[in-house]
Amino acid sequence: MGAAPAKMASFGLLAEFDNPQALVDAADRARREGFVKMEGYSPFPVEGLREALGQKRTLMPVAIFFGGITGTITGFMLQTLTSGGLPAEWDAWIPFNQWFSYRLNIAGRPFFSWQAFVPPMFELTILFAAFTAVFGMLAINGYPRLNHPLFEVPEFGRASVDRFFLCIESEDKLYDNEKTREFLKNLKPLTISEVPA
Amino acid sequence: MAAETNSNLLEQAKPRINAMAATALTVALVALGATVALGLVVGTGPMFRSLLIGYMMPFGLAMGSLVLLMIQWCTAGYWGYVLRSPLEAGTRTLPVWGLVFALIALGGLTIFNLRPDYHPENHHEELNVVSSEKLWPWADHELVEHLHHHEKLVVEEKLGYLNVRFFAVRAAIAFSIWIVLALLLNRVARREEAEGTSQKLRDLAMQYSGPGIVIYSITMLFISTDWSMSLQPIWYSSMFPVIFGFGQLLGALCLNALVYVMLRSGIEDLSTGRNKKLMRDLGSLILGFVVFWTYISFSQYLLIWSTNLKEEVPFFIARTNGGWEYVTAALVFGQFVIPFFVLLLRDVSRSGKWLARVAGFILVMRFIDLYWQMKPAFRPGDFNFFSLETVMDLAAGAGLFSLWLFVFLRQLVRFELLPVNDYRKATEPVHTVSDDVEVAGSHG
Repeated sequence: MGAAPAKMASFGLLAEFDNPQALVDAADRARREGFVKMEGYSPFPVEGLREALGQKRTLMPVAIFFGGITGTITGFMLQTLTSGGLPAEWDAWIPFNQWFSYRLNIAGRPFFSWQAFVPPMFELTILFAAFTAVFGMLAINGYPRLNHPLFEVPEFGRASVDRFFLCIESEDKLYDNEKTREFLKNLKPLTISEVPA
Repeated sequence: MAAETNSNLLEQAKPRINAMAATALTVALVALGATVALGLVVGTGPMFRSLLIGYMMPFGLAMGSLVLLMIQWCTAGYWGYVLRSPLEAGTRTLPVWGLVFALIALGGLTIFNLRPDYHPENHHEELNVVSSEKLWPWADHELVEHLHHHEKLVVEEKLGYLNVRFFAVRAAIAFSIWIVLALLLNRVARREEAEGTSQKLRDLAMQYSGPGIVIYSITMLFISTDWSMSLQPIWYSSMFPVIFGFGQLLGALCLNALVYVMLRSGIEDLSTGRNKKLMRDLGSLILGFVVFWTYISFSQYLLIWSTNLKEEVPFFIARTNGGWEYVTAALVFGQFVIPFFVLLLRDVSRSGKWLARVAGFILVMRFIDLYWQMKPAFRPGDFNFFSLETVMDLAAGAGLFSLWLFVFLRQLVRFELLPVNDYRKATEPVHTVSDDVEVAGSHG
């Protein structure tokens, strides 16, 4: 459908709006038109924008969940293995049960005092989940890439101040430099800029 | 949208509510009849104990309604708008429920044991257990006389506080305060209905609610100590009133989520627009409450376990032996693990059907939690599911819950299900994209 050479020439087309509702409406129109590879940019989270862009959920919550579980298990192992392992009746099933035994006697309590292990397990769950969230977020944002084609557009600086942007990327199957520009014009944006690749 | 079908909704839901109320009344009469019949077989002492345990769940729902009502006045939020009317209906049950407590307490302190030759068989002295001739063991002076030296000293020290007259005064004061709070907040609602919303009325409601939440915490500190903790007069835990009071909030929230979905299923679409947002909010709130319940309950256990004091530890010994360990495990899984993981799934808290299931499940667990708190005081380390006494506990629980539900539902139909003049009525979500749009590739 689209002209192949135009696709290579630019990253996409960027439309600028001055209020969040206009951006959501524009994204809604674009989605109905059939665009998939597009992204909205705004200074603050805009309600309904994600649905309007037709974005699928990320897998981050699942990753964070398993990050948390890893933390729980780490916390449990860290304390159990350094304080005499599981109770002796587990020796038959777990060969390495007492390999790392330091047998810490704390106030005469059982070596395997799971009650006391719970708070550190909880803390490590939160820590690992938070790490997964932060580093996962950096990863899916393309870190360590520090530059983005959009930064070439001077107007885009206001995306973190008071302007709302819709970018239709040239990777989209329906993308066609002229036709997409016509379509964006119908949405009555403040400006339309071509983003160099 | 919800606001437009406002008065319509009550008309449409009314037959359903009335049918539910009629069923509740039938269940209440049958179950309470069964409780009394079993009481004549098993003993009137255990019967009053069953009634006291069964009383706590609906009492918690009424009190939880009052607190949530005050919280929503202070915090605003859309959930407060849609839950306000049921919460107000819940608070209007307090006068009746005060009367029910007076009857149970009066019976438990006077005619408690109609057959004095009856004694619960298992009498574990070492577990601080008391086979009392009164519902609350500290009221039985003969029994206190015969306690072991150390235990006797501990209980006698507490008799200045734990005596029938002071106990009755505290209960009367607490109920008066709660009923006055409920009346004031309901009066604000009626005025708002008549005059329309105004900043003055909202300020008035907030002036009642802010101090009201503090007053609730203080009164519930005394009431949880009196009614539940003092069943084991030697034991004490500063975390217990928090668990007791917070359980009321959790129960009331789940009941309201359940009522919301049940009344609207088939009438409104719960999966779109405002309802969709509300389901998500309620799911998140319940998830938060479940986590907090776990936090305070485990804290109590961890502190008592690590302190290892003679006065405190028997509480958990009584609940981890002789069958109670299964109830404890059921509580860990049913009140934390299962709701926690189910509510973590976002789709669940967005679907009204599943939210109602989780809320109903947690409500059942609320009863088991209260049962677990109170019943081992009478039968420490001795739980037999297949005994007449357990059947009587369940019958009393079901009976009093249904009775409360009847009063609640009768109150619910008196006024609009959505407050007609609430200030949040016009608040719409910033933007909602319809989900039913077909995405067609028709470009170029």
